[in-house]
Parts: sequence; structure tokens; C-alpha cells
Amino acid sequence: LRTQAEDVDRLTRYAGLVSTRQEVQFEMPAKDRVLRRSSDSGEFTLSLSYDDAVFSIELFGELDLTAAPELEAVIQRAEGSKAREIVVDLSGLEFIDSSGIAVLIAAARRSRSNEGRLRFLRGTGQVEQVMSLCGLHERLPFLD
Amino acid sequence: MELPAVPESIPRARHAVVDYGEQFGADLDKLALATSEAVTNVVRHAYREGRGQIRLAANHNDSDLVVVVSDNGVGMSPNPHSDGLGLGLPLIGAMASKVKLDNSPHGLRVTMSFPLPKRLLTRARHRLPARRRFRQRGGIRRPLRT
Repeated sequence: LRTQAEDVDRLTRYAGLVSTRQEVQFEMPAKDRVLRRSSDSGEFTLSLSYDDAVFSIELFGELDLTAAPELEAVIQRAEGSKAREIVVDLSGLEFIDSSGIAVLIAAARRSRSNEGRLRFLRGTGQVEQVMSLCGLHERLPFLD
Repeated sequence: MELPAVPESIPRARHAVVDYGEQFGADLDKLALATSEAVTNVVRHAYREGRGQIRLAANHNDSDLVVVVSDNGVGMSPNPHSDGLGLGLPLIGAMASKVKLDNSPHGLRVTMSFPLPKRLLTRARHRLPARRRFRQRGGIRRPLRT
């Protein structure tokens, strides 16, 4: 039997394979990570952690069709773990469009029909505006 | 600019339009989302059996910045294989002040307008008096008082 720690390790290795993690992005304060940067910024990255049976997926950068399959795969693998709760943190996202929204809605639907383990942490700026525009504050399970 | 109709073109197009719009003081969040949705539509729906190109153009007039995304695909037609939520066009409509769709069996052209801030126009109106003041000073550049 695989342990939860092995699940996390496998997921982390998986994420490392499919995303180019740039440590400098993680050191930047959130207020500096804005859309209005040069054209080579905004690359989607994610960070995974497992603590006290809570699986956390932090999202950074821009979530569009190029990044949506990667996020979908990671959430599905988190759903396959034994975590008590899965938290998707949107606060580090700089941009989201309908392709990213579709992944979040699909994950929330699966969660509702399963054990309801999925929770979201709110985004800021453009992400929050799109959530509001699409009426997702009521449809997605936010922590607050 | 022309880009291949592949997912990697979506951020490229979005960043190009944002870089263009930044110099005119446009609302960059609206520009980015609308462009992303329009280009995503081309990538997902325009060329169902093969490769194709995305054409992206941006220009501005006194009051608006205009972004045009077009393709030579199948035009707007129901796609039974689509797994999208149908949010793309409504989001474009919410972001742009005007949207025009030119649809044909040979492709779709989406023209989106975004209002520019009036302060740019105000600044433009002040150009002539500034030149007049310069002439009144005898055409000599003097240091600004601090």
C-alpha cells in the first residue's frame, strides 16, 4: 500500500516534470506579480504541499488553455490521494480565463458528488473579478 | 501578427496585445481576458481537422483601442466535441465596449473595441498652447521652476 507521503512525493515529481518552476517567482511579493509585466512573465507554475492530511495546491502565474490540462491532472491525482481536504489556493494567480474556470468548476462538481474535500482560497485582482462576473462565489466551495 | 492555432499562441497573443495597450492607458485586464478568449476560440473550434493560423491585429483611434482576431476556419458552427462551458463569447462581451462578429463558412473575424482614457485626449488638446507659450518665451528653452 502506498502511503500519503508517497502520494505527495509522486505528485510533486509529476508537477516538476510538467511545469518549469522558477524559484524567483515564488520569492516575489504578491503585489509585484501583476499582469503588466514583460511578455515572458506569467508562466503558470504550481506548488504542492501536504500537511496534517490537507493537500494544498498553490497556483501562480497565468491559467489558460496551455496550463489547464496540467492543473486538471494534478487535481485529479490529489483526489486519488487519502487527503482529508484538498485546498486550491488561487491567491497567487495573475490571470485566469474560461479554460481555467472550466477546470475549477469540473473539480468542484466531482468534489460535490464525492466526499466534498475540495476547497478554494480566493484570488485577487483580475482573478477575483472574473469569479465575480461568472457568479462563481456561490458555486465554488471557498474556504471563507 | 500571425500565429499557429495552437495553445501556446494564446499567451503570446495576450501578452502582445497587453504590451500594445499599455502605452495607451487601456484597461489591461479587460484586454487580456477578451484577447485570450477570442484566441482560445480559434484554437479550440476553428480548425477541427487540421492546422491553421490565427491573425491578430491591434490599432487605436482617438477614443478606442481595437483588437481584431480572425481565422480561416469553419466559422461559428456547433461543435459536438466541445467540452467548454460556453463562457468565451459572454466574457468577451463583458470586457469589450463593442464586439463585432463577421462569420462565414471560411472563417470568423472578431473585432473588439476598448475605450481609452480621456486624459490622453486632454493632454493632446494642450499641445498647441504649450507650443504657443514656448514661442512667447522667445523660443528659448528655460529650465522648469521647481
